[in-house]
Amino acid sequence: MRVLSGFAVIMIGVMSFAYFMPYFYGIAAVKKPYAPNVFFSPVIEDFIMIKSGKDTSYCDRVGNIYDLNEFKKLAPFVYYRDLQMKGEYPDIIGGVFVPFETVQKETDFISVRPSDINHSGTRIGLYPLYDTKSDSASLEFPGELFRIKERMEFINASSIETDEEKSELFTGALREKGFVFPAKVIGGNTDPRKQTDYGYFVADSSGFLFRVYQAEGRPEVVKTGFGPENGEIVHIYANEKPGVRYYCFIITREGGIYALMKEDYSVRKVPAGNYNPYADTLRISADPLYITAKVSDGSTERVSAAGWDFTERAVYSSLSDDSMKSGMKAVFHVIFPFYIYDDKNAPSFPLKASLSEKPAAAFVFSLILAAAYFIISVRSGNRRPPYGASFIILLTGIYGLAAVLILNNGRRR
Amino acid sequence: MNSDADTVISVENLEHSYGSAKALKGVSFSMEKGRVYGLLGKNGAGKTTTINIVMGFLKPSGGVCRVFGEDVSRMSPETKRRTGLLHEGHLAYDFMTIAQTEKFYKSFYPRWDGGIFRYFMEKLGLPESRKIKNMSCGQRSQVVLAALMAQGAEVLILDDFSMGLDAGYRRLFIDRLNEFVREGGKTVLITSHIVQDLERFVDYAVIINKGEVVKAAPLGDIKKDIYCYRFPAGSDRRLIEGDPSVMDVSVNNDSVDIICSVPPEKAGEFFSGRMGSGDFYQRDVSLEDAFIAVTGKY
Amino acid sequence: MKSIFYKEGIKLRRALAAAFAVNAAVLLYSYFRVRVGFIMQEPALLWLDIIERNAFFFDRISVPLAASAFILGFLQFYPESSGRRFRISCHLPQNEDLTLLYMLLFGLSSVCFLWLFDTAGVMLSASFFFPYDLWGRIPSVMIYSLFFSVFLYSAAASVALEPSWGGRAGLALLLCGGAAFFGVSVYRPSCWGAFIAFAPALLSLASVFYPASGYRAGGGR
Repeated sequence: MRVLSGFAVIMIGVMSFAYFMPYFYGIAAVKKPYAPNVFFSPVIEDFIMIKSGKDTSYCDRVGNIYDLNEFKKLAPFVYYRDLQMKGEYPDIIGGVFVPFETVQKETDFISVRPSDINHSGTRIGLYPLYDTKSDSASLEFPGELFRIKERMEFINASSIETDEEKSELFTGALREKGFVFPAKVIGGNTDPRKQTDYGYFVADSSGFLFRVYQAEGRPEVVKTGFGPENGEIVHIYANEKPGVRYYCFIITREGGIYALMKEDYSVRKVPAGNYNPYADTLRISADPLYITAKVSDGSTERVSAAGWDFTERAVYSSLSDDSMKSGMKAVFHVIFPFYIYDDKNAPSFPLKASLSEKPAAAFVFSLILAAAYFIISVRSGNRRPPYGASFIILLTGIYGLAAVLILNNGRRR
Repeated sequence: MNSDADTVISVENLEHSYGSAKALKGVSFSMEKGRVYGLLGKNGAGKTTTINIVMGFLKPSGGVCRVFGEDVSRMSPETKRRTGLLHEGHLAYDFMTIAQTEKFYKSFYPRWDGGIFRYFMEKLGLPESRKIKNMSCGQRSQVVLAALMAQGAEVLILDDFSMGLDAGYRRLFIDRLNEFVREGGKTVLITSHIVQDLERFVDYAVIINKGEVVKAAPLGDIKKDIYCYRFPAGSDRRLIEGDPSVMDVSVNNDSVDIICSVPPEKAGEFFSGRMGSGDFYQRDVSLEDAFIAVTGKY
Repeated sequence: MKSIFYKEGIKLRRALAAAFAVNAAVLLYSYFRVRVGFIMQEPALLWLDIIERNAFFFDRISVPLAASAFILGFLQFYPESSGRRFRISCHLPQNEDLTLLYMLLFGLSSVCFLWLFDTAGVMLSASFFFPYDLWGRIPSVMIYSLFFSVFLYSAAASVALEPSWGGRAGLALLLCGGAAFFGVSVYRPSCWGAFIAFAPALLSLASVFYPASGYRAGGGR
């Protein structure tokens, strides 16, 4: 039992060292990651970027350098307020008349992180359904929340009882449009401070997308143009901006990004290249002329610009620098045979484990540590050769060595 | 002293070191059934190391100790049942009351003699609901001893029974031991810093000095060839100290005692002209005298 | 086992009573806090706030539960190590590992009962204010509290039982980092996560046998 219990103590030590040692090493070795901030310029119809570092530079893809004022004029949909303040806002952009008010209305920035996708499945499925045609100037917060499982149920928060009448009404309306219960994904804006409400976009079990909203207490259901042939919906992003052309963006498991158009509930695929919704960050910027999608996985970024016909006009790819200096990164993977780290994007438990990127070198390092420990122990006159401890050090490297040394020295004292 | 069939505890070539310091250099002795053994030694002699090994709470670096033929560090439950331990300081679960202590131990020892326990507690005169932590050292020692006696163990190992006890409780402890140990034919190994207490109880003495057994014999043999002569206070002892026959010179408030190997018939000649006035008489040698004679004062 | 439980019960009854009392007090406090929240605010808005912030509405209960487990571990085993009293337990006429196992079982049962008490209290209280969608997730949140409490109990037991101060420091250093494996966000049930949290809890229980072995090797002199 002594051996097993000592092993248990060492294993706990190894697990915690495998988390903390690489963590503190990373803090010491980290450098500020560098990635240029890329925009699509409707003026030159190409990409421009801000390169931050010791000195910030403004340039385009071919390498022309601009000063800040010139740069702002190349990105009028980003800096429209600054330009307007200086009286430099151009009405004609890319050959098209785009008044300032239109830019204000139709410019939008959307960000979807992997955690939004990974964590969405664990969100408790209760939502407030506002009335889009409320009597008051601002939206009234409802006294109940709904869920869509085998039917659409409204739960009164004061009594915790189901409003059967309302539930049956809305359930019937959904069934009438061909909704197959239960709902798979629900997307919408629950913010009680919002000024407008579009209701919710709900994916049913057969993969079709519906829009559900309430108007003067009556259910309104629309079956949209999105179906299972477009992919399996994993996330719906709806921010209810009145002036834009779309209701929401739909993200599929296969990495498809679709815009649900307000005009006719049709879906248009946003060109974005390879996109892994579970690992990549997606940023979409929409303006009166273009829709730009940026997909980054931490080390590379792909920027795709398309017109509102959703045909890709230009693509730009860039690499971002490593967050760790290269020499220190190499040392990291030699001394740490494996490591445990936080992954905030993980769907559930945030801790993950990874093996060293240089397993052979890491093994050799562990072997050296184990051999050194064995030889020093035997030479210092220990009663029995420490085969067990040396084997643990061989398997776990520096973590095992630290744990064994602490345990042995503690008892010796 | 040895008879294999009757050997209850055997200690064979015990060696132990603390770092580079060797505490035991090959201690060997054995204990026969029904006898009472005193383990004597000065501070740092190796007595505590030996008793800890015999109790099974220290692994020796060499040698082996067995109780009823079993290695003490791996005693079976049955052997533990047959062996009673009194730990230094009269260790007890002091959050328990007297009644709770009996109830707890009774469940482990099928030969539990409640009569003995009650006898001790009646003599103690404390209510059963009294917690051990609310007792004096002496009172606690009685409860611990009662539990030990009531267990029905065949072998008792008592580590420094006198620690924390005043003269009264030490005497009471030995009285009780004598009452129940002899009657039950138990085998006892006992240690104490106060050697004169052991003299009332032990049959054999094992004297350890500097990590080795220097003498292991019945009490009478320990004292053999050791004599004590008492001189008046103020006697000049300068000529006698350092003599190889003189083992110890003790200065009392009204006398000076000389422990030596000189027999009475030669004492007069030996001390003549060496101790001043010359008036002296022989007194009995105590176990403590013999112990000092064997191990020295320092 | 009955005798060991009897002994541990005598040793810990006051501490257990205090632990239950403190936990009950925190439960009551949390209940009233939520109740006041419902009176002051629109209930549906409160539900939404909890859902959107991914907050556990009775999160305060994890603190007294964890603290109780830690203190129980210390109070159960420090009396055993002080004065080397554990030697008495080692010499009881039964397998020593079994003796320690029964002692641990007692402590573990106490922690589990306390956890059950808290979980039941939270679920009962929550059922007054929240729909099943919310309070039904309580076990998936509280299970991590259970594993964390078991870990803390075992870590406190190990450190308290260790006979030498150096050994205590070493054990504390090795075990404290293990607490990092129980910090999870609420409402994210995960088998893998539960296993990751269960493993150090189980290992920590086994680790208590390590300091116990020190008593047969001369520890606590």
